[in-house]
Amino acid sequence: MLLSIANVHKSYGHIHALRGISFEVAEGEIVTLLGPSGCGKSTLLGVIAGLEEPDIGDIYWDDRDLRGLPPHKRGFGLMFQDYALFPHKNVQENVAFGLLMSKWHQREITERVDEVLELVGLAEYGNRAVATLSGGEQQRVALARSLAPGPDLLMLDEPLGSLDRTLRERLMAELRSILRQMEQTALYVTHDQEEAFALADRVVVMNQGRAAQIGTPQAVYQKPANAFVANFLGMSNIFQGKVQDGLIRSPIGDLPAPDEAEGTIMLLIRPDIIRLDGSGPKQLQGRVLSRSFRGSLCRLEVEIQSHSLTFDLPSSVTNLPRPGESIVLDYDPTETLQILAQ
Amino acid sequence: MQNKRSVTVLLWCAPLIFLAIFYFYPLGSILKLSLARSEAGALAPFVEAITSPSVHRVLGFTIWQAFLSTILTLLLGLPGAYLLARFDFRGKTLLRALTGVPFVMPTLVVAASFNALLGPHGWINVGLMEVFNLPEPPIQFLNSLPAILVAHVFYNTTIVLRMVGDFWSHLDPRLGKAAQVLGANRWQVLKNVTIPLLTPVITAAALLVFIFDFTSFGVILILGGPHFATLEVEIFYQTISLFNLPLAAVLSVLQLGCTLVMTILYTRLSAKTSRPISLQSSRHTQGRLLTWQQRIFAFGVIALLLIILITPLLALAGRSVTSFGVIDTREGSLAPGLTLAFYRELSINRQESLFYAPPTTAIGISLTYAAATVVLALILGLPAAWALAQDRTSRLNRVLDPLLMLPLGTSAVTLGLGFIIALAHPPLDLRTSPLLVPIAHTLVAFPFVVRSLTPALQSIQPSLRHAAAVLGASPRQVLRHIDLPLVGRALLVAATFAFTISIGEFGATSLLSRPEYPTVPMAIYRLLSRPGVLNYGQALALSTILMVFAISGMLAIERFRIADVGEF
Repeated sequence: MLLSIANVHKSYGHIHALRGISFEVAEGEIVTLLGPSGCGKSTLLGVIAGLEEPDIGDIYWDDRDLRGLPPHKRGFGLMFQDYALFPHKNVQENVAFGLLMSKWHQREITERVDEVLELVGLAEYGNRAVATLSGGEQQRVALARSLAPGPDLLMLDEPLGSLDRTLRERLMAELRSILRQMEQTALYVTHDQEEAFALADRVVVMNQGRAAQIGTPQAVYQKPANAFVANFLGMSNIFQGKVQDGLIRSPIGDLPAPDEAEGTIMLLIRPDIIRLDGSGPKQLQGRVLSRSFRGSLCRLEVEIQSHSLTFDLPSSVTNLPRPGESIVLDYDPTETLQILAQ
Repeated sequence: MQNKRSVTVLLWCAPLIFLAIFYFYPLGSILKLSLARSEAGALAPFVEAITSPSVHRVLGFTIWQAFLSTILTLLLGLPGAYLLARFDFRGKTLLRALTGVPFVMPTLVVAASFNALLGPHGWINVGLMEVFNLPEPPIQFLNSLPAILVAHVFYNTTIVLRMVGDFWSHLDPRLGKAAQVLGANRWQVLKNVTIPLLTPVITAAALLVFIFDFTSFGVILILGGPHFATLEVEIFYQTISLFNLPLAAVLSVLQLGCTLVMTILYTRLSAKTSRPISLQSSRHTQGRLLTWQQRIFAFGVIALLLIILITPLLALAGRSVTSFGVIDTREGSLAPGLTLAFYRELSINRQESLFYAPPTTAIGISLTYAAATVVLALILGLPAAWALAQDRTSRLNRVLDPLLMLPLGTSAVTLGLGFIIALAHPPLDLRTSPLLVPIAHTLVAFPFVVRSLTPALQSIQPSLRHAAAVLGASPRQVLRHIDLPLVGRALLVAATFAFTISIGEFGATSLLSRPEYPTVPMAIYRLLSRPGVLNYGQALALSTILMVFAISGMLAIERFRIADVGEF
């Protein structure tokens, strides 16, 4: 593994920003750190970049211990959330800064800067003052600046955070293709699951300074490891239950239990793997509380045994029941019911 | 933390010692002198002064002219603010820049400008005499109340345009639309939404204008002539002409009391306006001039603004290179037409002149004083700004920050009087020191220097240093490529402020400068008060040079100020 983080702790007074996080990044891999604000994502980037010293824990790059190595000797790139563009330098000078620091020749610097500005679609912007750029343009300059020296590892701290939705989606796609094209090893911090899934080879879901789950986007989405991850991904049908006689005794009734389950468990009823076509094999019965149209999906809020559950059904399904009407949901226990770690 | 705090304390040392010796000690001396003759209790000298008819009249006139000036300034400024706030049109940036010019003009330039436009040798009178073949100038503009009022409007309209206009331009126009949707007609929208929202900022602007008019000195002294005296001018006469220092001190304390109350009121009000309810980028609040009513309104306002704010300055520059009639100079007589004779005359030492040296010497003296002021103001301002930038919220800084701004609220004449009273005898006898004038200028410039340096120092966010470090810059390279260049530009701005203020300062200088070392404003003042077209022409030439300095200073400040990234 190229980058290896093991059991890193970092506190500021009484605030424990990192509490023993561990994960690894392979060469050419894009890993996203996904989590709510305040989960320690940005602190972790600071620690890896060398801007912060960890209290305890190991950080290795290519089997080399990074502790004590100052940031300017690590050869990493970091794109800041607020971009941190140098206000007294124009676009060209901002992008050239890292090259100047590693003592490139002037001619190579000019070539490289042109090349990178071309890559981010700002070929004509070299002489512009950064204060005259729009948010999206500043974002590209910041990206170009961190890419220019060809960092071994590029870290991006919520790079699309402050942009509006349409711009964000466009830049997300561009960013992905640029990183892939350069086979850039990257660590990408975001609180937006869509962004994290779209960009990542692997996702590290963070909660309170620890890794709550690590895996490919598909794996994380299809099998959230615990209630925090499931909730964070918007799956809220989570109940505590008890396994007895091959059945889960839950607040919404008895449900078939998987073979391996026993004792008290956390149960997730997936909102997305459900049908209305009477095909079974198992069924849930309830009453529709509300129905909202969300493009390709339609979200139903269904009352089952006086508990409210949400389900997403394709909008193409005809005869969706109206609020107040009763509903019969077909599901396959092996797919729809998931046992979460406590 | 302990360490950081002691650094802050250390940084404050020099600026505070300076303020203690050259601000608080002189003010204390004024207070002491004003109380010195008091046998019937501490308030007796003030009661005595206020009840005396002459001071009564002075105080009354001070308030009256300030009130009239403020009303007139609002009458011109508010339509202008509306135009700048709600409409986008070609040349708007230029108009905004032009209307900012009067505010940075030294008093003497303003006086000379109106003299060049409306004085007995000014364009309009000379033109009218020419056309109608009159023996005497038909318009008696100088030494009249209108002259004072017009000059005040000229000076302070910028304040209304900038303060009200900027606030207004960020005010969400949808608030008005929301009111319309709720059934309000245009008049009701104005009355119930727009005016209530704008009231705090208009009041704050009006109060600031009033304070400036209340403490106005040069305009009243030169354009008002001997018949009009405000408190400020009366202090000057009592000090210079009558040498009645105790009465001058009493008047100064009165003046200080008034400005203090108004400044506190102003600070309260402007704190309210600094958080407008719903800030919108001006892009969303401005439209084009669509209807013909809007176009006529815009045309009228722009024409009025340019006539009142710009023509006097053009008249000055133009008149300084034009001669009417035949004038005798040393080099022979001067034919009517374009000429640089007035400028050439500046370097000639005329025997009958009051000067010991030609007026060009004044330029050298002013530049020397300005250079000394720049050095002093930066040496004192930089540590103070640095301490403030460390942590604006620390208790020490919260107490000291407003303290630094006090000289701003103290009239320059009062500062000069304080120097005369306090620094003219042991332990500090600086009467003959060439540093006296630069020290006074430094006091005036100090708040501006600190105010322009602090945000610049604060803007060097840690993330900029971090970004540089991650890009491979060693700590020393970070200092060289990030900190120094950013501080450097701020220093340049601060230095320009100090320089421009020093070169145009008149109030304190009029009390402190020695006759053999006149500054440019002093030289203009003397030339203006002497008869003869040649003196007049030289005054205008010297004023034009001063105006060029002031405008260059303003341009330099605009140029080197670093715009905030992501500003509105």
